[in-house]
Amino acid sequence: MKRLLLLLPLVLFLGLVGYFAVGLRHDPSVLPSAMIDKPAPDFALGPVLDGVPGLSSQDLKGQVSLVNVFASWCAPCRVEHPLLTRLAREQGIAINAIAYKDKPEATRTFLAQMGNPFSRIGMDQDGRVAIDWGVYGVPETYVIDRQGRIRYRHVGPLMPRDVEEKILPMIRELSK
Amino acid sequence: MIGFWLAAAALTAVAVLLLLRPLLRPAAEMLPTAAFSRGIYTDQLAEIERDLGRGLLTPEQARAARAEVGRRLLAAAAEADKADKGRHVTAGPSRKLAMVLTVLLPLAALGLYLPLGRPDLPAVPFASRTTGPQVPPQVLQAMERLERSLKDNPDNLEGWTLLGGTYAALGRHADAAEAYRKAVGLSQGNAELMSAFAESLTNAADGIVGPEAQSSFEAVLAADPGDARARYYLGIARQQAGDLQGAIERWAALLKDSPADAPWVEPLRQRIRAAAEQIGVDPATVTPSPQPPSPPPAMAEGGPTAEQMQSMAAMSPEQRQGAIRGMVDGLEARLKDNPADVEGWLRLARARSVLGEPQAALDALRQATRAAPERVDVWLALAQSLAPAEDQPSSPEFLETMRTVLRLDADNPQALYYLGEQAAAEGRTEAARDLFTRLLAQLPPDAPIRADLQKRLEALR
Repeated sequence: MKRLLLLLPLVLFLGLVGYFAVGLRHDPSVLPSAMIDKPAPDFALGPVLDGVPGLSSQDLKGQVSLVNVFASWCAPCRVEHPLLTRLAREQGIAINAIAYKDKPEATRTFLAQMGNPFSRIGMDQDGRVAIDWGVYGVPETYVIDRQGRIRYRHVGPLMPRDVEEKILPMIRELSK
Repeated sequence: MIGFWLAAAALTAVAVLLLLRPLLRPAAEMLPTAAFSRGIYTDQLAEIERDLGRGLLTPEQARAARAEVGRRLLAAAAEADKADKGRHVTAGPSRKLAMVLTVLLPLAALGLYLPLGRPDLPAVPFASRTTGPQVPPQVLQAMERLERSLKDNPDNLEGWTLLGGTYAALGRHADAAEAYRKAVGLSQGNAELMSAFAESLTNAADGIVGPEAQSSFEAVLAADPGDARARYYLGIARQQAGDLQGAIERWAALLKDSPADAPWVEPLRQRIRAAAEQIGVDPATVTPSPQPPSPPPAMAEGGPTAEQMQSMAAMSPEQRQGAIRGMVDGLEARLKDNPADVEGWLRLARARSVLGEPQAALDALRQATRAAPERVDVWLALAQSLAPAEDQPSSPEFLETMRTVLRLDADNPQALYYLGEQAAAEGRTEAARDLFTRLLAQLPPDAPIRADLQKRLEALR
C-alpha cells in the first residue's frame, strides 16, 4: 500500500505529460465556436455610414457572404482591411460588417481613411450583438451560407494564407 | 542626496543581516544517523533471539549473527563519531565568514555603484516624458509662424510644401498629409508633391496604403511612370491586399529599373524575398538584377567608384592628384565623343575648377551652353564663372551671356542687375531705368539691396 502511495507523484506527472502533449498539438488560434453550423443569432443593427444600410439577420439570407467584426480602435483591423477590400472589389464577395464597441464618428473616420469594402454595416455600439455571436475580440470574420447559417469563424486578422486556403475554398463550395 | 545614501545604507544592512542569520545561528540538532542505525540493529538482535526461541536458528548460527550485528553496530558508531567531529568544523556558527561578509558586502555594493550609478541624472516624472522626437524650439517657432502666415495667405504653394515636410519630419503624418493636399491642389497636381502627399497618408494610416493614397500614387505614375516611391508603395498596397504575386511583380519591375546603388534596392530585395517565401516561391527566380550602379567607372556620372576611392586613399597626395586628373581627362575625352551630354560638361567644369584650372572650366561651360542653348541654369553657370571681380568692368562675353539669360528668362534678377549696371555705365539711362524697375518688381519687399537700387533709380532720372 505504502509503495503504491510513493508511485502516486509519478503517476500524476505522467498524467500531466500526456495532457500537455495533447494540448500542445492544438492550434491555439482555433477557438471552438458553439455557433458553427447554427443560424446566425437574431439581430438588427442600425446604419453608421451614409448610403450604407445597417445589418440584420434577415440580410444574411439569400447569398453566401462574410461578416467582419471590426473597430476603428483595433490595429489588426487596419492590417486586414486592404485584404477585405480586395475580396470585395476584385473577387466580388459580399462582405457585411459589425462595427464593434465604437463611436460612430470614429467608425466613419476609419472608413473614410481606409475605404469601405462593406455592403452593409451594423453599428453595435454596446457590443450586445457581438456577445450573441460569441465574439472574443476584434477582428473576427464569419462565413455565412445562403440559409444564413454560420459555417466558419476566423479569429484575428485575416492573412493572405487564411483567405487562399480556408475562406475562398469555403465560399466556392458554398456558392455551388 | 543624503536621503539616498541613508536608504542605501539601510538596505545594505538588511541584506547583511539576512546573510548573517544562518551563519551565526548555532547548528540545528541534526537527526543522528547513528541513533537510527542503533534502532535497527537492536531490532535485529531481538529478532535473532526470537528466531532462536522458535528454533529457526541453531545456537551456533545465532551467535554468528549476533557477532555480525555487533560488528556493524561498532562500525556505525565509529562513522557517527567521525561525522560529529566534522560537523563541528563546517556547520557551526562561522564567525570568520560572517565578519568577512559584513565588511565585503557593503564594499562590493559601493564598488558597483560608484562606476555604474548616475546620482546626477535628473528625475524623469512620467508627465514630462516626451514621446516624439525632440524638436528644437526654433523649429517649432518657425513652424507656428508659417502656420499663421498660411492662414492669412492660403495660396502660398511653397509654404504648404514646407509645412508638409516639417510635419512629416516631426511624425505628424495626418497634418503633413493635409498640408500636402493643399500644396497638390495649388500646384495643380505636381507629381512629386502628390507622391509626398500619398506617402504621408500612408504613414498616417500606420503604413496601410489606403484607397486615397493608392489612387494618388497611381496618378503620380500616370504623370511620371518612373517614380520609385509610387511604384514601391503600390507594391505594398498589393501585398497588404493579400496579392503577394502582384506585389512581387511590381517590386521586381522596380528593382529591374533601379540603379544598383539606389538606397531602396536592398529593402526592395528583402521585401521580394519575404513575399516569395510566403507563397513558396524561390526568391532567386523572382528577383531580377538591378541596373548597373548609376556612376559607372571613373567620373562618367557622379564621381569615382568605391574601389577607386579605396585605392586612392592609399596613395600619396601627388599620386592622388595625378589619378584625379587622369579621371577628369578621361571624362573630357568621352565628352568629346558625345558633346551633347550637358550634365557631363557641367561636371567637367566643376572638376576643372576644383583642380584650379579656371580656363579649362570655362571651356567646359561654353561647351555645355552649346549642348543646351535653351537652359538658363547652364548659361547662369557660365555667367558665374565669367562674373567680373568687384569694381571691374564686365567682359563682353559676360554681357552677352547675361543677355542670353534675359532672353530665356525675362525676370532673371542677376541678368537684370548686371545689364542695368552696364546700361547705366554706358549712359543709356532709359534702358538702365527700365531694367532696374523690372528688377525691383522681382525683389521681395525686405531685400536689403532694395534701398540701394531705389537710390540708383532716382539718380538715373
